[in-house]
Amino acid sequence: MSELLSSFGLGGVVTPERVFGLFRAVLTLGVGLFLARLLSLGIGKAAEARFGRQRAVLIRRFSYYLLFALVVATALQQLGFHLGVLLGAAGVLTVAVGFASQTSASNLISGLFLIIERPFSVGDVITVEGVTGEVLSIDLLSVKLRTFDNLYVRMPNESVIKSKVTNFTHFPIRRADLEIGVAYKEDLARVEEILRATADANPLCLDEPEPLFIFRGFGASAVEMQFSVWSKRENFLDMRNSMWREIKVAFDAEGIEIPFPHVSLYAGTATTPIPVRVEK
Amino acid sequence: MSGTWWGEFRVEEGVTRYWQVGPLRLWATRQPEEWQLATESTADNLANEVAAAVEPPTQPGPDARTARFGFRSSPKAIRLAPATADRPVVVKAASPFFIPAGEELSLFVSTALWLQVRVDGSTDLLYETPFHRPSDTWFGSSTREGELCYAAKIAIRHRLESVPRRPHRAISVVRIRNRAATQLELERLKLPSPVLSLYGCEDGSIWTESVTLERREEGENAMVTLGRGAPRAADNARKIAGPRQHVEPGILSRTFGGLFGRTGARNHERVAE
Repeated sequence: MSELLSSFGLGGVVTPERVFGLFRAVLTLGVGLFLARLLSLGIGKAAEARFGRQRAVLIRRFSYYLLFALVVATALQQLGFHLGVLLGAAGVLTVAVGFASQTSASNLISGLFLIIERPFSVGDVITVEGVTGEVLSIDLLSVKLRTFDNLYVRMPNESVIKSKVTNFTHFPIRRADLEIGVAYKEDLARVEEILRATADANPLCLDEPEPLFIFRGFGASAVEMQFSVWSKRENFLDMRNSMWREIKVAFDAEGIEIPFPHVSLYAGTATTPIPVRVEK
Repeated sequence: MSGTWWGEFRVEEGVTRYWQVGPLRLWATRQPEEWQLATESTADNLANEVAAAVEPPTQPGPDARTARFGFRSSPKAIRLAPATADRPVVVKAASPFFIPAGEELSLFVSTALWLQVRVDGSTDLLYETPFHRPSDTWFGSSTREGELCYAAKIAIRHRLESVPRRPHRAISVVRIRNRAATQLELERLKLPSPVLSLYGCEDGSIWTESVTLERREEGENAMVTLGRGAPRAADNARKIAGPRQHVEPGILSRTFGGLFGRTGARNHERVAE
């Protein structure tokens, strides 16, 4: 074989040892990657049982990359590279990459903390930085949300960690605060009675915790009050809609007036009457 | 209240049979390959009437719920039976009631029932609906954890005679034993309806087995034990429905409920609102 290689003028560069080494390296790479994949899948499966799907995916990826790095390092050794030199180069590269990828690193670390802290999980409904939606996934660098008008929003983990997150699906029951105003002439005790009776008649409105009646004060147009009612979280919208409807019906039936501000129209600076034309 | 409404009823093809049990009206029509059901519930939970007719006196209104079931050949008979609520029921005391340490007594509660419809030849449930949809309520020490239950509109009664007899409600005898060293303030109790069976009497009254709540220590937990068979107060009762869920006898659970009692989220609300 050396004659064949010499005839191509590669006698010095490509020696049988080197070819052998290349062959071994390729073999190591091939077998190693295959084993790395198998092992990481196995670790992933074991982690799923223990840590849940989200974390298991991360653990599987992390272990695969670790094994991948080991396999490549071994393959490179087969080729004759010295690992020390490699690590030195890697060190310099890391610093350079680190400076360049500060945001991504921050997102990565934030992601890890999110997974550990668990303020919300996949499937929860959250509001973060003004965006409300269902959590589709919590990934390495970002959280993916689906808004209720079916838009896809990518929230960097960094901003999730830094800002206030409201989780709508953490607690099982929720309170609806209904702001109501009634005319000054109304008997407030009677109004409270009517509101409580309406809540009582509504099956979605929880008996306990009891509805809360709060008198807010004497407003500009009306006497202002707040009537807070609880419902099972899933029934929140239905309960609130039905309560508003039923309160209006009850007020109309009892003759309770809900005032609203009126606007006076003036026709320009001169106060002449606004012309009206009657058509038959 | 007059007589039992549950049982098996044979219906000819093309015929609509009608029942009224308390606030609920049911129309059942048999066709060659179909059964059609319609139910309508009035808001009047105190309605007492029981009626059954082969010719419906009225037709279902626009708010009636309807359901149609297809069969290769529609079964000849329909079976009506009551069922307990599918969640525990919270019953409140009308006024503050205390049971001193070491004392025991019996109380009586009336809880909502569901109507279950099955067809001849099958034990599968075809259709079910409450006679009157009870109100949801939360039973727990805080708004963060607890259980969603139904609220019984009829308060705890201290004498059996004062329990209203209704064809669409079940009567339960609850024996409370306070074995703890302190007095028990009974504001409300949670009846584990899904694990109770139903027994019917000839006069149309429906009973569950008796329930014993034994408070052994400070706090709101009690050992719940169920009686075997119909309670003594039910004359000649026959079992007409089994429990929705089977559970081990003697369950320790939060039963009395100091829901937002002297401590709890309620006080926080009062401070900050």
